[in-house]
Amino acid sequence: MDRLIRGYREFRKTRWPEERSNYARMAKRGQRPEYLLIACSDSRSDPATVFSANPGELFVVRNVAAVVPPYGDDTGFYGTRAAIAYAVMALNVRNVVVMGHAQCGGVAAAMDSKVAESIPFLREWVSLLKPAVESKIPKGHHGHGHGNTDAERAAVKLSIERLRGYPFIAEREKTGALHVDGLRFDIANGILEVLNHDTGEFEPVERPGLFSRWFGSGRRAATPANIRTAAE
Amino acid sequence: MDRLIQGYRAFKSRRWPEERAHYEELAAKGQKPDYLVIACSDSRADPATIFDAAPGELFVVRNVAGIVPPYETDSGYHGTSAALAFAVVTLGVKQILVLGHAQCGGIAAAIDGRLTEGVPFLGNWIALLEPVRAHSAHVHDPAARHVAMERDCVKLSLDNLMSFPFVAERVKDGRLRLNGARFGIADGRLEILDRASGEFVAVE
Repeated sequence: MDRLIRGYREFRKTRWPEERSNYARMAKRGQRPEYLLIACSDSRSDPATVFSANPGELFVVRNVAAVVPPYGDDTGFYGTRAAIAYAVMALNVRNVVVMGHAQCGGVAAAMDSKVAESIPFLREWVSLLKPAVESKIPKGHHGHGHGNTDAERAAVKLSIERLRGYPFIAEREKTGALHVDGLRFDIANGILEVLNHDTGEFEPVERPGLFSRWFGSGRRAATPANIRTAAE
Repeated sequence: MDRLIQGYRAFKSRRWPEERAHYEELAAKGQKPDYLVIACSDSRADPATIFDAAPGELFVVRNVAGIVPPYETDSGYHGTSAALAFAVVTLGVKQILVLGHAQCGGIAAAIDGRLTEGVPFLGNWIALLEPVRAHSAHVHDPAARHVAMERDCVKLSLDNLMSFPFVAERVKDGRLRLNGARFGIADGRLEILDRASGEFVAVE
């Protein structure tokens, strides 16, 4: 626990004084996050870090490979689906975002059954990704975790497709009350790519002008006051 | 998405230059986190923030109330159990921390079943907290009961962790340690479960 306690002391010294009134307010009136972020448990792909998020901004579900299970399955696992339902129906988030990442061990395990063979529960869990990764497996592939870029993207798209199978999400998306988006974070070069819903392709954020289409009307304006440092 | 993109640009201009070599190394060598943190999805209880964590340090599972289900050998898809197995068996984490927090909506739903009405799956998930609900049934003050259940929820998850053979085995031979903590949102205080006394003790 030493490392965690040290980190907590650092938090108390530097971050807490800055965020104190924010925490106090949120303790009183409850959380009102605008985003549900579904991300991988991987230690290299932390949403609060990648999005410089303030406390209260992101409701976060993290599981192996950021999997969204199909709505209708009665398979006895409820954790991720319960969190999605709670975020959308009880908290009224306005955005649901699925974030995949490079070198994902879960995607690698879905591509090569030998990876997960001796790990309890893992094989069943990553089998949920089969429809996404099956066509991406090259002959003689051994699921080493590198070069699975296409499969990682396909996994995000599959999760988005499944989200749209949740009636309460489809309904809200239709009325514009909710937006569903997909991302992939590349650990080696720090590039974030965003799923373009029109083309089905992932496009890196850096390219100038690319995001004008996501800034269209109907989206709630960003709150620059919440951003600790203006980036541009 | 605009807020996320702005936040990402802030990350790229500030944090990334500091951590770039670190990320590159993590990409080349793979992750080797020492900690698995099981925490609530709540936006106010973010582990990376509370522990000032660097990339690569924490393998994180987040679900409503930070619950670890008991070990079950049926063939159902268990997201939290799969992440636990991956962290412990594949990555070989040295410690597991179960992190609860104040004002937990999952706990509120366990106390008042009406909160789960109309929200699919939530009741099924929160049903895992039935032993916690029953254990505090005698506490009449609502605020005190809420806090007691938040702490008991952490203890339940720790008990459930020990029902996984691959966890119990590693705890027994000293390769793995389990801890519990609870974060107070209003006062920013972290309290840690003292396993000997069963009490939560504030850090400092």
